Amino acid sequence: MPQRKASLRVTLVLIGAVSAAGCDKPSDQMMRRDVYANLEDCAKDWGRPEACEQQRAAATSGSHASSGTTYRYYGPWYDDRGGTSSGPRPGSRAVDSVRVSRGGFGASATAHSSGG
Amino acid sequence: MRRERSAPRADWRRKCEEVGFHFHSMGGTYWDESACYAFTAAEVDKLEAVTARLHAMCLEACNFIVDRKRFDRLAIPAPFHARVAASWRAQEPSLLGRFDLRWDGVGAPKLLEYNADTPTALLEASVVQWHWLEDVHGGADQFNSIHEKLVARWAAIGRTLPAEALLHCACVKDNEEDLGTIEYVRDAAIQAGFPTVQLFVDDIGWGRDAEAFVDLEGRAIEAMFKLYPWEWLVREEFGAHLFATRCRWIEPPWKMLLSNKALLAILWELFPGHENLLPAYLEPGHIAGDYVRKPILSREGANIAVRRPAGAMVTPGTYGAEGYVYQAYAELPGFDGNYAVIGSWVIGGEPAGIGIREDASPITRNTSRFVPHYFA
Repeated sequence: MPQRKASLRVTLVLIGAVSAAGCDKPSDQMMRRDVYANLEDCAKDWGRPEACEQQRAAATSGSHASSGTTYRYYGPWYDDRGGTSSGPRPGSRAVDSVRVSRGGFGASATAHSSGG
Repeated sequence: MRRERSAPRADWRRKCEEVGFHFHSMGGTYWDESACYAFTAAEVDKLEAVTARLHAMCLEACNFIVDRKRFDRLAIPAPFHARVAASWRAQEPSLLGRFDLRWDGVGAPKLLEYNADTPTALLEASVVQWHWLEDVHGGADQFNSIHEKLVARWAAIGRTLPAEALLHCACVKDNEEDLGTIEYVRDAAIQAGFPTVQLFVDDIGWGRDAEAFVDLEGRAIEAMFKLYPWEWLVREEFGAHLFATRCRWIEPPWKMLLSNKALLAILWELFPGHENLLPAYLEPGHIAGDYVRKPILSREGANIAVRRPAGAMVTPGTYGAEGYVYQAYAELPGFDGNYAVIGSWVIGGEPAGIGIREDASPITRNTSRFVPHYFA
């Protein structure tokens, strides 16, 4: 009996239930957000806990298997055009901040599909 | 290999859309189940063996290009030569690729090109035609274990990444086909255990303090599947940052060695006269008969020029600045007036299945119809 060459089962878990990642954030400019060790500090700085977003800190080593997870809290994005410092704003309770520029990829796509 | 007429399922549109295949009618008719291709088991075995052989030859070509430093022939910018070579030597894992083959069931299949970096027509080959088989030819088989192999390959790639690494999957905005393709790739990754994030290429950020690519939430990107060609990435504004980070790219940088039609000439140099290759050169004048000129970096059948005594045939486009490859012309086989090309998938280095595209023109384009197949 030859081995079957078609998949025995084709199950999808994602398709139909997703939307594009948040498209409400501006591109093509320098943005900054402050990073907090806990929700309380973030909420005090921004006046409301709902402005703070919990994110899993980036993993650095180990296997793909689950392990202990640490979290950071991020304040809202704000315009940082012209900003030069690399740390959080003076007086902030933040332990760090991130500055991001966008729009450096995608120019070649103009009228083409990227596939082939 | 023969083409058969087939009655479309009454609810084929709904069935397509239920699995995320919303671009089934792009260009008019794209998914076309009014016909299908029937193969014998022996024919499928042959396609599988040829696909494995061609992939192995391509890996030899990678060795050759890196050892001889032939990067310039592939128009890979000099600042990236060392990183591409390092990626190859480290055997950074690859997920997928698709050979385009010329075959009519007789003689040896011939390689037309290798879409090794950003192949599409994946969801339709893996999922949509599988459901068609279940509904229409339930007792038959299909050369298509793409889905199973994709999930298994993602699991294997996951074992090479840091614990709980987020996988970002990126494509261009405003392209339904690309988004549908990447969402399917992401679906398979989720089934393999990855946490994932969908992202548009335009929204990729450069974190100036962290010196890392970041997503819209500012998270460092540790692993990125991109449906966006390497030759575009390396030439864009953020290209200078590409290898300053620890990000794992999928497809890996060494796929730049294969997703380039100059590969066709290099394969012919390494394996002259091979039955699965067509003569190909990087300079004109070597081919006495009909030939086709293809830009070494191009897609969607753009800027293809077929030269033959009956007259030239040229497709429009904006590619060609990086040079051309000249390949002996082997016209696609016609079935009832339809020119068919076989896309043969490689997942994790193994043959995984086929998808067939048809067109009224012998040059396959982005909107050429996808026609399902079975074998018995």
